[in-house]
Amino acid sequence: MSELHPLLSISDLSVEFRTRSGTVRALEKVSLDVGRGETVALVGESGSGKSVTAYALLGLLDPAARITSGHIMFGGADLRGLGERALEEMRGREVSLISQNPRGALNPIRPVGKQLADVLLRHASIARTQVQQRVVEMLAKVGIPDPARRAAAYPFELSGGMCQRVTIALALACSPSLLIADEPTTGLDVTTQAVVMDLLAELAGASRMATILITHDLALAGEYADRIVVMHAGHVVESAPTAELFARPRHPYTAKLIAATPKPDTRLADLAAIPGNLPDVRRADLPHCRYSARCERREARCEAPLPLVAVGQSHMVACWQPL
Amino acid sequence: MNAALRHLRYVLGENLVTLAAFALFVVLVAVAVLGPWIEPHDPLATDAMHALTPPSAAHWFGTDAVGRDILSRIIAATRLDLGIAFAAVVLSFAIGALAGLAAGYFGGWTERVVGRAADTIMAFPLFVLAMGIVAALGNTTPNIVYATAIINMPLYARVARTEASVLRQAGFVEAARLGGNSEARILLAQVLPNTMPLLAVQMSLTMGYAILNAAGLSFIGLGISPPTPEWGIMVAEGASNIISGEWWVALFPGLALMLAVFCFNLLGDGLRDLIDPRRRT
Amino acid sequence: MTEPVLDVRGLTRRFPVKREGHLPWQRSRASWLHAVDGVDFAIAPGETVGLVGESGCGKSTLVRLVSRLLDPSSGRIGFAGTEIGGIPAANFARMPQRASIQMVFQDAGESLNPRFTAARAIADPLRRLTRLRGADLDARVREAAGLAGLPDELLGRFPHQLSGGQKARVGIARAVAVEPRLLILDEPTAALDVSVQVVILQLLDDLKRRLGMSYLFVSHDLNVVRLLCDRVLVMYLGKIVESGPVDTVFDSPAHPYTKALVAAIPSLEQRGVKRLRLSGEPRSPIDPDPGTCRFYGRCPRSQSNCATEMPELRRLGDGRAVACHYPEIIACVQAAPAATAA
Repeated sequence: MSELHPLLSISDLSVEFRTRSGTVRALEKVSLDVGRGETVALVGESGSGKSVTAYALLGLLDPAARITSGHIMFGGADLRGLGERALEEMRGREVSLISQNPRGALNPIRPVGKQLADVLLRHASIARTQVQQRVVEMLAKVGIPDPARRAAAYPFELSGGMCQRVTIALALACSPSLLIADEPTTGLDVTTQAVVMDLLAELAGASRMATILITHDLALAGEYADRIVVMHAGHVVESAPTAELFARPRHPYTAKLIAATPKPDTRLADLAAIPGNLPDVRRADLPHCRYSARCERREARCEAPLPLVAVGQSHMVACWQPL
Repeated sequence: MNAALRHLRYVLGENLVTLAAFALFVVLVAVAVLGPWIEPHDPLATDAMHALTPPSAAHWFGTDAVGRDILSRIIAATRLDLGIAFAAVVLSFAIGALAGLAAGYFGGWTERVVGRAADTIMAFPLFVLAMGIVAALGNTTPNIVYATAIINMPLYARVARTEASVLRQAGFVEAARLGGNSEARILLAQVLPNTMPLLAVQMSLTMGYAILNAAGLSFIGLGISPPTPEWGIMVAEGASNIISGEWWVALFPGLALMLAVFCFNLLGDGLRDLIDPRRRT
Repeated sequence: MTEPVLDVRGLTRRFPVKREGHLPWQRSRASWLHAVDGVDFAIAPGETVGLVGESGCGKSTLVRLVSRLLDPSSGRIGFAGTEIGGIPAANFARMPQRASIQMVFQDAGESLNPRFTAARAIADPLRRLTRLRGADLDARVREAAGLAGLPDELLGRFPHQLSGGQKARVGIARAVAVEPRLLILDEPTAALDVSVQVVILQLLDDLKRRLGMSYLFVSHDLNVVRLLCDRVLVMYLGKIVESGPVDTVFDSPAHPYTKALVAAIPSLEQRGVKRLRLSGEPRSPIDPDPGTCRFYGRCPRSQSNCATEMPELRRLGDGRAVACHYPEIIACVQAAPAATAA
């Protein structure tokens, strides 16, 4: 779980986007820690800011975005202060990313083995003669059958699940200490999803690699993550160890999210929708608590700036009156 | 409606070049429409006494070899050139785009036939083909329109075909079938409106090319015959005068030609932004 | 026993796949991709039947066959007693049954013409399939929008001005406006956030009862299928491998594929538990061997006769059926005499 010196520590990160229709305050004072070897799930609905957080970490934000405050401490250095060269070195070697569309992440006109070799040659210091052997090893490690032959295959010749395995191999080629998985299984069949998630868990466990799993699927987070961080409209609203989050959610939004997620034994009538809509993050007059407009427990003191309350061992809630 | 006007203002404000092109377009159309009323002199009136006079207060652009006022002739020519180009573009669009849409949407034999026809036209150097058509059919204004239209049809057909072949698999096309629409109705009422942005850009670009084509044909004597004022003819007539120092006879019509073509090319980009905001970068 | 709304027998759809020789004089051999292969099922009036299966199982093709957007290669499609499989898809738009079979699409945004307002999108099928015009048409459009929970002021908006949930409602309004008897829902909530999903599912459930429709509900999310459906069909490589009441099938799956599907659903309770996982890839649907079970090779229970004899869909009693030589029946069922062998 979280150690004294977490591998990654994001504190008070705020990100703005300048657009034609105003400034979008996409993230506000987001804080989260990831320990070595820990799997942290970043959960939230679309527009909650989960992907923005990941891309801010990697320094891959849109040019229209600006980090207005906060620090991203990774391995002792503040990533905000790093120049582009240093960030390029870091990406792929220390921090890797796999994302939603496996085919989209692969170059369609280059065999997968060559793409893997490209990464190895760029980031890992290994001799050219060794590269092909490492490629085959990596493909085998991610469970691709007949790896020597498949290394010459083009992405279109592989199924969606296979392509995702290749992107995992690409991401893990240099044994990064942190892997960001941005909705890695959206678009995959449920049986393929299970196999891919098992693979990620196994590989992460074997090399003590930390993982940030970004997903809208609470059940997926429940099965694979050690800790869950819940986001709403650019804020972190709750962060807790998995079992505790489900057993005793302390933020009203978390509770509603859990109540809206279908489980095998729920009835349709038991499911409850979350009232209201996501606030328009372009408004200049957003309240301090962006959930307050939708919350039935709202009171006068909810107008004040949000606190971050510790309600248990590594369990934080951003609410004036946690459940 | 308000949203549309606001968007128009935004597009024009965002990009000065588009604004300039749009302003120029308005000026050109105004000149074409108001032609006879704003000409300072009769474009056909000759005046041998004042032949080849340089630009002056009486004749802003000077006079040509038989004493006609160049400015008036340019104004008169605007109507003709724009008219020919517009007619050619509309004809080209009507036949080319529809053929292309059908080819892309239905595939099979329709696509093969339309494809071969387009290939045949494009196998020729297009201007030479236009020359051939006008030479064969005769030097009349309608023939210039037909020739210009024919050489531009493959362009529309190609653009329309690509768009239609993508859209035929779109979800809303399937939904339209479920809603009881016949294939022809889907093509015209659902697919065509969605291809308009690209086709509109094409139309604007073709306008520029059509003007150039008409002028070019007239320049080599295959198009409009003198004494009708037309930019191409005027440039041809003035070409020989350059050597003898009377630069204004060819320059001003040439400038007018250049500005018109320039205007339509730039307008094409602006049009696309206007019609389909989602494609805007 | 009332007549089923939909009665499908032996439905098959094959697509030709050309395998060309490389050299000019080699003749091309025609191979066939068996997208849907001999499917039988029925939907009773007012019933909601779920259809689950993974990519490549043929459910998209089956959906297009049933909604008559595609013609079958063979087999029968009976709709309220009338055989509609023989009517070519191109002509079906003119048939009176067109309005009775409608569909709600997975990607609502994709299924709406970007140049049509919501009102026009809903009005279009009404214009084509009913006699309503003018004020009556407008009234019906507003009625359908109301049923789908779409506020009147959104009717003048274009798809890019609507949220995901609102677009989904437009798609639903459009489909129910023509009063269909059978509504096919192709992953209607797959693209929606979980809280919007709840609202849409509850809306669909409510509409079903109010308007007396039958549903064919296609989804990859087994938990969602469980919420809405009475019965479920499990498809694999063009065939139905299991069917039955939804709770029974998911609680005690008889077919090994269904079992793997259920085991793949992520859940908090299964943390750290090593579960059944399918290895390998599905067999090729091109020119499949008619004597080999489609699941052979990935199946943990396979025996030698699975490669020589195709298992047929057999009733197990209790409304269940399974196509397997070695189905696992945990719950005690009264098997009909002509049922399970092994």
